[in-house]
Amino acid sequence: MLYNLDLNIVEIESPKEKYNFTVIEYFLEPKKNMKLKKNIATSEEGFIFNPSTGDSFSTNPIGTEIITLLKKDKSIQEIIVAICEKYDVDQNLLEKDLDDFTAQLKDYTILE
Amino acid sequence: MKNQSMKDNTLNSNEIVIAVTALNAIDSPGPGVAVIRAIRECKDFKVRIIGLSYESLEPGLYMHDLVDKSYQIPYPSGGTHSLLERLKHIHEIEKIDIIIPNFDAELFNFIKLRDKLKDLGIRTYLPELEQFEDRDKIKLYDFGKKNGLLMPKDYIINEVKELSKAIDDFDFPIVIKGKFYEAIIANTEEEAKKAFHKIQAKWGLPIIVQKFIKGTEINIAALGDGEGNTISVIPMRKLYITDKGKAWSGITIDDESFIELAKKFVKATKWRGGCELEVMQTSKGKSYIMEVNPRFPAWIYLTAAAGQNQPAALVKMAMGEKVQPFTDYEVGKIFVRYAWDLITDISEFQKISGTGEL
Repeated sequence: MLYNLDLNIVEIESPKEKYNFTVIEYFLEPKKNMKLKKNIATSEEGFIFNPSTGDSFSTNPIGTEIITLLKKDKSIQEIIVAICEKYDVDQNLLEKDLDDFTAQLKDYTILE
Repeated sequence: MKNQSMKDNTLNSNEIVIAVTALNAIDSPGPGVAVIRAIRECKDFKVRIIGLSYESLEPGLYMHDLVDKSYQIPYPSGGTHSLLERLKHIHEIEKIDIIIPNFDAELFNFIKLRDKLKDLGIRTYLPELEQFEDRDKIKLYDFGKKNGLLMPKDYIINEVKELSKAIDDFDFPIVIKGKFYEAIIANTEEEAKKAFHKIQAKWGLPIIVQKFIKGTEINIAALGDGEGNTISVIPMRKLYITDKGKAWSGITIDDESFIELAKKFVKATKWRGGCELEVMQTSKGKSYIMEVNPRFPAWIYLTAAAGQNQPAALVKMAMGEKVQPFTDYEVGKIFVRYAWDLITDISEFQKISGTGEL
């Protein structure tokens, strides 16, 4: 019962300019804030354990990073900013991927 | 005079002699070996374990590091008289303090014999006959209704034509169950009829037709003190299931609702001893009790591994000690069952088969 939750985003060598920030905020709806359930256990290697259901998950480094940001109560907007700054990713693609990713997290009751 | 031969209740002072049944640690295992393993792990008392077996090839018979001495006992169908006579004989030799029966089919006899065993100085820690019968599959739905517990609606039928009542009431699929064992999921009327005949041939009548509940299967091991208090509850999610529906691997989970459910059951029934609730949790979060097994489950060692040693707590309570309810356990403890080719000698097999002792 080990599920795979991978995201395919490539890290860039140097951080991008800050100009993406306003654009992102403009396009995102405020309802997209999501919270990781309090008892979810995560590891730096991308292992996620849901103690309420007994389900385990593995995710790749970008997925791990997003989970870590969710754990710090970052909003989806903030996560997009952080990821866009660090990775060479089209914002629309990231939004779509994040949508899919968070939908999966919700399905597996990892998100509140 | 009653209880005259019972030993001092001080657990540390003497070796406690505990007789345990269900040594069939096979692919669909009895709980005996797991119960013994958990008891032996407790450092609060010394024990001598007496294995009680029905068959000569029950693996636990040959596990001499776990079982000190074994005796065969008559099959449950033989009734209480022959069982009592055999137990008297074993007791004369071994001076048994406690018997922990672990088979559904033998529990009726042991409950019936409880007072007679007590007179001999043998303790048990079993539910009352009424509690035992209330949780029977045939009465489960009514029992749930009476006690505010969710159970899948069912029809108890004796003829194949009565299937139509259930089919009219429930959407397919429906579950056709035997009164003792086995359940078949039927998706059509034809399949339901076939399942009825198959189960009738194997387990007799009546047949239970149950509403199918889709969800996640959770098993809960609970220990009650007979006064409505729950001493321990460990919920487990099956991670790997065999073709017989048995857990080959499972994990302890953290969900207060299951603990509350078990407490509600124990309180309603004033359950004494160990039991296992088989629960189906729907996607909407409703928990249905599918079955109640009136004894420890085969995965009971996980309770000890998670910090609530239920078999050891039962021994203490049977010996008269007041045990405080456990409050914590480790979440994320996993068991993975394995098969092991235990090697023995023909002389051992001959001994248990020929003399009924090993």
